[in-house]
Amino acid sequence: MVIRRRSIQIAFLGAYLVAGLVRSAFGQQPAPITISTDRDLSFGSIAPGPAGGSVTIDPAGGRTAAGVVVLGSGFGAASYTVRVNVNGGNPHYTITLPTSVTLQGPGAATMTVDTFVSDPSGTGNAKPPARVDQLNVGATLRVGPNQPSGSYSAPFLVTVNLGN
Amino acid sequence: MGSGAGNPVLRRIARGSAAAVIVLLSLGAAGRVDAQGSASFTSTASAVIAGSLRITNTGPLHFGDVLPSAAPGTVSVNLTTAATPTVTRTATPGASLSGTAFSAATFLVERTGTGNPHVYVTLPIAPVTLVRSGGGASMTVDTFRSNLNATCNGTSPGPCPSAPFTLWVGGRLNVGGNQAPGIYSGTFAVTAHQF
Repeated sequence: MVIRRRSIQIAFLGAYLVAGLVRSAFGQQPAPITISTDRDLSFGSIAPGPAGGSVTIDPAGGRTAAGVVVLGSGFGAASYTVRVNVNGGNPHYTITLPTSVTLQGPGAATMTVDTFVSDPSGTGNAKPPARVDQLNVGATLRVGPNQPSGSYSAPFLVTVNLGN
Repeated sequence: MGSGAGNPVLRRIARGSAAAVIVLLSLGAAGRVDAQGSASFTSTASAVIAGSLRITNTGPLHFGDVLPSAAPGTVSVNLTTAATPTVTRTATPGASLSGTAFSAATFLVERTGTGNPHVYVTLPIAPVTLVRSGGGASMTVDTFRSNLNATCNGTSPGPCPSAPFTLWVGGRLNVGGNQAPGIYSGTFAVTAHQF
């Protein structure tokens, strides 16, 4: 009888582990890490010049320009909320940013956005107990000579990976 | 579950050796590693290119013929604040006017694209130096003024015209005592801003 009770216990343990595996495989647990956008990346309004130039948004949201004149106040860094849903330790995560993105404008006009920079940079830490972190992303917009006027936009992908 | 002990499947698991349990435990550990996932989010990068602004010089600021004296003096090209201003020339003692040819500078201000077409201009603040052709002497021009309403100049512009429009610019020439005769010229910059 003693042997049998231990066997039952082992069987329960095995069933529990299998159930845990099935739960994670079918996604019934919350995703271990999530990211959502609070604000998009906006370079605002820009007056182009004959020589072209660049506009940089830093992760803190500041805007600087070279070769072109920036106008108005409608600009800002992208902002994300990173949420880590695992327990134990300091949940570090690594950040992957795009290398470059092409913004589509009126007609066939395009502009390139590159030099993506994030704060935190490279690795973040969604510290307990909240396990929530704010991730800000800036980049540099390349404005061509006599860039055609109009609205330009494109999607870009930011990826966070749990662990480092 | 307590009655599960009689289940043939569970009994088979129960009969399994310790090795079977170790396999299950290691699978459990692998499951936790899988739980260390990644997440991506697509957001939008955007920018607006406003219409470009072009300013073209269409006529020089010309003080005309000036007769100097032993005392320094000034010659001014003055404007009224109108779309097509009245341009006059005046002199202070020490300099006197000669001839009838003089002009305010004119600039054509244009813009392309859509959006707010209002424009303000920035005139030189520091004096501009005119150099005598052949060298040996110079004069300065300061107190630049335009035909725009005074509140439409500088960094906090008030009512300003919509491009396209013609900008007229005058100024004041400082003539030295016994200024050397000759032809004097120089350049100055006018900047147009849209907002």
